[in-house]
Amino acid sequence: MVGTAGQIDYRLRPHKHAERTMLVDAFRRLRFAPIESYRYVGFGALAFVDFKMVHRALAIQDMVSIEDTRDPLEQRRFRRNKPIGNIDLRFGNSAAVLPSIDFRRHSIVWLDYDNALSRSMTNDLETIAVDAASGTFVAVTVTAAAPRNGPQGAKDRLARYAEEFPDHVGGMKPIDIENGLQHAKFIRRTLDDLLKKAVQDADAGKSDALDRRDVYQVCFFRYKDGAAMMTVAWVIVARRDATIFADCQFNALHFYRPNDESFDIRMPLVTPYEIRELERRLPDVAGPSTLLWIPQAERAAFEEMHRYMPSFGNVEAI
Amino acid sequence: MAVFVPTDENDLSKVDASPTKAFFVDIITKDIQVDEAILDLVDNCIDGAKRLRPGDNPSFSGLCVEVDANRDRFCISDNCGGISLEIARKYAFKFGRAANFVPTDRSVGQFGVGMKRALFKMAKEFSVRSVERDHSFEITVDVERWAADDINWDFDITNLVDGPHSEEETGTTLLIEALDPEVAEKLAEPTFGPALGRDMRVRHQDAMARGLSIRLNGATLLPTSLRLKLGEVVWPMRKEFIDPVDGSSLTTRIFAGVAESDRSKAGWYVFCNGRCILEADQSETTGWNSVIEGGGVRTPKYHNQFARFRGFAFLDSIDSSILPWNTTKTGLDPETAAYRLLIRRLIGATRPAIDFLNALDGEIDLADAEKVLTDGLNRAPLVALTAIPLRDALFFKPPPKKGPPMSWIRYRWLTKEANVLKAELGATTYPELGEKTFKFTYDNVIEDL
Repeated sequence: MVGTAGQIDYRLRPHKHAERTMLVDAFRRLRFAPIESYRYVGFGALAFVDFKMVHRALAIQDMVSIEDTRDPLEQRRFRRNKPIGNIDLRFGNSAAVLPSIDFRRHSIVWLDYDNALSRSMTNDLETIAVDAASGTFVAVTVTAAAPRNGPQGAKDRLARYAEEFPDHVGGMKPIDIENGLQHAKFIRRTLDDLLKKAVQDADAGKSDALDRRDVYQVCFFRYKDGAAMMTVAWVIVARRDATIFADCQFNALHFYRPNDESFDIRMPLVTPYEIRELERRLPDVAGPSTLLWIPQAERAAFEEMHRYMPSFGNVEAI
Repeated sequence: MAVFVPTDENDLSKVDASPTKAFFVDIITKDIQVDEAILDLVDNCIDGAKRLRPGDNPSFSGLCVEVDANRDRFCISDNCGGISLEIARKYAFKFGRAANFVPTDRSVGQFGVGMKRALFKMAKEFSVRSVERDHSFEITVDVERWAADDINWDFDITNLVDGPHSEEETGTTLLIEALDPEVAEKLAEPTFGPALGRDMRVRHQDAMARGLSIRLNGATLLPTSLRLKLGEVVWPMRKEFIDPVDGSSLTTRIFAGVAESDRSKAGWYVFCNGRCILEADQSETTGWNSVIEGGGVRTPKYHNQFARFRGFAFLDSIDSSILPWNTTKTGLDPETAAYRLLIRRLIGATRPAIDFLNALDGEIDLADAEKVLTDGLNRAPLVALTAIPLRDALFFKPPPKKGPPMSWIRYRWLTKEANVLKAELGATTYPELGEKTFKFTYDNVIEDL
């Protein structure tokens, strides 16, 4: 994860920023336990941006960051960059670290990968699912670009998927993943299905039906800063807690997506002056004739995204 | 039969030297401890196994001895062939070895005094039920009532039914529901069970290594013959789960690690109530394929680095119907709830091991001096499962190639103040205090964490 940290400065990824902010908005709705008592598990990388956000916004104290490096020098760099003392840095592959975390306590887990869907990711997801407490929030981010080189690339990619996810590829043809949206839908479906199956398998022996857990998808984002990315998020809920889940009202979030219709994050391309003008006229920025000089598409994007826009400046945000 | 003819009161030429039973019972049970008595009973089961599977190098696979010992009840049962009616009638319950008795080859217990003195030691009343090839029968004895009659020494055989019985049906069950109060007290001690388990593992290790499973109070004893590498660079997983399954409780103990490289032994071993259901499995059944991903390894091509993998899963339940085995108890049934739970756990346990084995494989092209994992693994001892500490996941760490340069630091300080600080920092010795004060200072001044 050091590698990608070096590629793109996280602060210059506006869509990623918006995604993080929206996810924090979603975390805030969890009602299963006081939110500050949740544990946050993620891949902090060198910047630990998500960790700073959940700590500041939600007062979460118990945080675990997984870093897949065994190099003592790299480990030292991570330790030096750790912005909050509470973060428990665990070095090793997620496959090795996740089994050592007790998911029977309320957790928010964000598996923020930066590569393409693989079996090891779904295995990670399944590891969490087995013991996940009712009220666990779990999100997975992967790259979701349509395979390059047209049909040939799609063919190769599909062959790999067929090897790792034979049950999910079924009768698919390369054309079914040549397009970014179709590809993303395939990934969402696969993740969703394997997570649900893992939870059902783990609960198969529970004789009290109220102890059995359901998996509710709450987010399905697509966005692009450089590479096309996607994130799917779910809440795992025991049937006895179904009303608590309803009380969380995730469906009140305008980016709530319970199915394979994605919420595509797109930042408005507007100037700082335009932002001020638009903000003063909230909530109605799509209609007023006084704003016609700002393109309709940008105004619409602003309306959806203004709360999640990053503020850039030449001041280092600490 | 065994009737002591009383001395004729009118025969002035004889004195009565016949024993009273009470005296006899007292004598034979005097020097035996409860744990020894139980071990003797297990010896008898093993003799049964030897009669059932004779030969120089027998396999006891599929044979099982179950011991339940608690305050209210003692029961030992096996599926080792049963006691034949003939042996029961003439020898098994006879006090002392009959002159014409043909002992079991390589027997450990032999029908001498072991079983009887164990029973008299522990029971106020006991019953023995045997199902053998040709018959099944029961012997129930109320010890006090039996002892009250000094003339008749016989036990009564009841429920005698003619066979034939298949080998799977055969076995012996010895049940004591009216325990001697002192024995009951002993069995109730929290340390009794674990200590007895340790004794059994030692005393019966040969039979266990041959595949005999011994279960004590519902948990399979871990055979000392199963070993994993521990220390230097790798620490195996050992984790225990207790899950409610279909209204009963399922206990699962999982071990995952590495041992010597041997393709035929690598893989998962799954035991249900002590019986080995799956051996060295590397198939879909244990989730192997979903762990070894990508790169065409799903094809039959074998990867040598995995020949070191060993995983052991012990599943135990009082309710054997919830165990994930198929109806013939020869394989896992993927439809069962217990299997669906188990498979996730096996995959979770395998992944860190594969991560380690891949890292180990990555050393192949390195110079010998740089093969720290390989070296460390070669040096690491094989340790019996019983001695492996709990750990949520296999953990590995390449040791530092060579220790960094070290310096000595010595100083004197006021004893009084040193003792205050020693207590404050939780140090038990002055050298430890020295290390702790250095570390404290370093962490605060240098701020490397």
